[in-house]
Amino acid sequence: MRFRQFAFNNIRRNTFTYIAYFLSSSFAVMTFFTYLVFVFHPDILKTPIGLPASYGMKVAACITFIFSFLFVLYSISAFLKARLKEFGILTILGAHRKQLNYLIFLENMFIGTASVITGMFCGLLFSKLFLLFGENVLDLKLPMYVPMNAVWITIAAFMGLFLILSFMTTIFIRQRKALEMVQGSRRPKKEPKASIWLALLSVVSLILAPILVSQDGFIYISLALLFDMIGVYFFFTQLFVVIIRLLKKNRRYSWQGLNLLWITELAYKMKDSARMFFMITIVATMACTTAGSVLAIQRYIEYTYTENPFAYTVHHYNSDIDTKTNKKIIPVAEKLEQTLKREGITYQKFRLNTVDIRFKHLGYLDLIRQSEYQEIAKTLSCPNVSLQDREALFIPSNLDPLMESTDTLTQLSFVNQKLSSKIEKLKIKHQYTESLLQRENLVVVNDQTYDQILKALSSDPYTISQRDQYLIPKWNDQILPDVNSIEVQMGAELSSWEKTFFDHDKVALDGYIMSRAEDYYSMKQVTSLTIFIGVFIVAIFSIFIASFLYFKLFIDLQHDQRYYHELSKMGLSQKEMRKAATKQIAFLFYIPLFFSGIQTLVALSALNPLFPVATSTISTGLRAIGIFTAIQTVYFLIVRSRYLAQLKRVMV
Amino acid sequence: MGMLEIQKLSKIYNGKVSTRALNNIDLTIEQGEFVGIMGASGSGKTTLLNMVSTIDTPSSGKILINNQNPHQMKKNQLAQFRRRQLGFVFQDFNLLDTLTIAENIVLPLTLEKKSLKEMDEKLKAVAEKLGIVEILNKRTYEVSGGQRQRAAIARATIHSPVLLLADEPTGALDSKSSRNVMEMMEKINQTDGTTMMLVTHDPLAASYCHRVVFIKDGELYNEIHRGQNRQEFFQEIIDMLSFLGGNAHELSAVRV
Repeated sequence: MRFRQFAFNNIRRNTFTYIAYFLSSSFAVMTFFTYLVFVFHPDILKTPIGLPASYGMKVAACITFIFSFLFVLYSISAFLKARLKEFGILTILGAHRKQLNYLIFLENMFIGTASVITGMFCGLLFSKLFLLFGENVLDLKLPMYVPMNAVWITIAAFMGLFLILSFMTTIFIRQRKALEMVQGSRRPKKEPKASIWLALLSVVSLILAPILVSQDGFIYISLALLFDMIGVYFFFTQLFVVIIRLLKKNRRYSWQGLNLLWITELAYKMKDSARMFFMITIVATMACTTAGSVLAIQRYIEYTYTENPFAYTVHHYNSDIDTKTNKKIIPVAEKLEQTLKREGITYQKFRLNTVDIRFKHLGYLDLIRQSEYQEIAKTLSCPNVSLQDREALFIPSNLDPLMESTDTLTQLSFVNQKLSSKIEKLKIKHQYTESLLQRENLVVVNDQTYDQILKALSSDPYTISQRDQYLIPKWNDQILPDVNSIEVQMGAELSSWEKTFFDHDKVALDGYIMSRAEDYYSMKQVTSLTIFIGVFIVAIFSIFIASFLYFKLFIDLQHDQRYYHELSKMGLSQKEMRKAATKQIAFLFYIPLFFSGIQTLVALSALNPLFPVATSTISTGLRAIGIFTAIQTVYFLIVRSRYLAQLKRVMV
Repeated sequence: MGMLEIQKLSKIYNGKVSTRALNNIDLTIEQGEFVGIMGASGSGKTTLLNMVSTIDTPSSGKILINNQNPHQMKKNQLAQFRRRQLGFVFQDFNLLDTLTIAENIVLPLTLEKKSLKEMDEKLKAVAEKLGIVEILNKRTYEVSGGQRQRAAIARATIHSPVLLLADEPTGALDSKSSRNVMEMMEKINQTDGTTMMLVTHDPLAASYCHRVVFIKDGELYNEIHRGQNRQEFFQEIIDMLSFLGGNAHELSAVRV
């Protein structure tokens, strides 16, 4: 028998030991491949969002690969640990280190090649499903194609990965002594040690982090991040062990029923892979925070649609600019109105002349004549206030909340010297929040005051921006439009019409049209794609976490089986075994989740003011955590039932 | 009625070739008695012990412990029965190495949710009796084999079981520790009146028993009772074994 045959037979006859490693590697290949099929889909690049999105998708592909790398690395070390004894025996029988390395190398390459092939095959089947899902989310047509790009990249990436891992594992084995190997995982483990000072550091850091995060400034945020990392890291490596020790000191609790059993075992399991738990917590936090933010952005985009009463806005360019060139001027408003008439849609048109004026503390606000405002107010049934000279109706937009609260504000003071000397101040007679002109904050003054202000400004360059707002009552039903709605279609039509005049030599437009549905829809596609990719990464990641925990439990399975077998001889009933084991697994699953949940909430509450969002990021964050928890719970139940079934077999 | 009644017990292992491990065993152990079971490897003594410790089920026949038939109980009930009525001592100690010695010993009581005060009292009493007070807070891998086995005996007796079952308790120990452990068992038998059943092939360990039963090929072969002198009894056991197995030199007289 040649050595290569030996290696091959080793795998063939030990299927059971290798299967977990093989399956997890195949799984990693499969997810990566499926994703690449999606990224390199020719039709995605053709869409308007394709190019900006492809950068993000490539980053996501890298992240997926890094996950796969860690995942495969972990499964390989788990797998080798389970086989330490075999290596020990081979060493005692006189196998050279070189031969042993060669054996491991060959095995890895066998399994690697097999899993790349299986993974890609399954990926091919799976990617059709994935593309269908993508079609649904993104409103695109994504037919199946021959993904040669994806095939080559996957083969190169994973064969490289297995090659590197093979070399790495030989180093991993080299450090072991023969005796250690023969004893394998049967050696009694040393009691987990922890330093009380590092545990205290963890507590202090965990308290400091949220305090720092609530301060403004980039330095505080990065400090908070640092402390948070330190806190969580030492929580898993030190504080947790200290907590368990304290729990055990309290014998009234620990010497009660099953507590003694699960508490002690938990300390070992947690300490064993503290670094892994740390990583899980951090990445889960990142995933949930990102998901929360993206969901918040999406909610915001929906808001910009539903809160905007005007379906179209035509912004007119300043007329004196265009007369200088000798281009033919095409009025956009006319085109819009024609289009609306053609479709038989009734509309109301409001003309507004606004001036941007800077106010103290509040920045630029849009000044509007009362006469113009009153027309809109009548139609939209907004509060109508009679204004005296130098009185103002202040309407902050709810889409772009001002940094400071304006509830107690009684007057508006100008920044401009001339204005403050001639007009002094504007008294706020009334204020309410509404987004009449999207994100613009409005100040309504009576016509006389408006003219006075213009006159006062006459020597300064100022611009009156003229716009027409189109109210289409039929479309104001607060329902988000889909791709087939007239509103979106017409918006797209008008914007492509506009595009034909860009850089045109002879013809120019006198303004531009903004369609809220078009804006909403194109933004929505970007967020949908982000969410789609995000969901994919989160799904991979959560599967990765679950499989990691699964591996963890099944490496220890032999030990645990012995443990419960002995206990069962002593009279531990099956019911009690289930209880103790369930508690243990639940802690392993939910402690990192609990931490990342809290961190996500802290992070999102810190991010909240940075968002121009009328909704809170907290609620979307909670949703993200909720979904994540639900997925993990499904895995928890699966892993638990499999693990308990294994333990049940040794119960006498 | 004895504490342990074994009636017409048989065990057949089904496989490609069915093996009759035990055949028609009748054995009664009285309250407070200390009985040794001996026999060559494969004679069925461990099978017998497993039946009595309710870990294995008989093919036919009946076992009554304290007038109860554990093999008719439901699984959870059975676990509780083992926990309350039986105590186990194993060759490889079977202490949980994630727990301290003290925690190992009180384990049966914590499962029963006894009060902390009661546990402390019992722990103190049993640890003093077995001379392991000073190692109570150590971990299992920090103490010697003899100490570990004494800890295991402490765990097996802390809940005052009606029947203590020992499977080769001296199998992994040197002769000095073996003697020490057997003396402890004898002491517990004398002071607490615990009924004991010991499976061993160590004649020295067996010589501490009141009575030794010999099994050969799954059947009861003979039994001998101890007189006043342990030394004499030991010699009788050796003679019996050599008669049974033929190779007297295998059974070391070195330990005498």
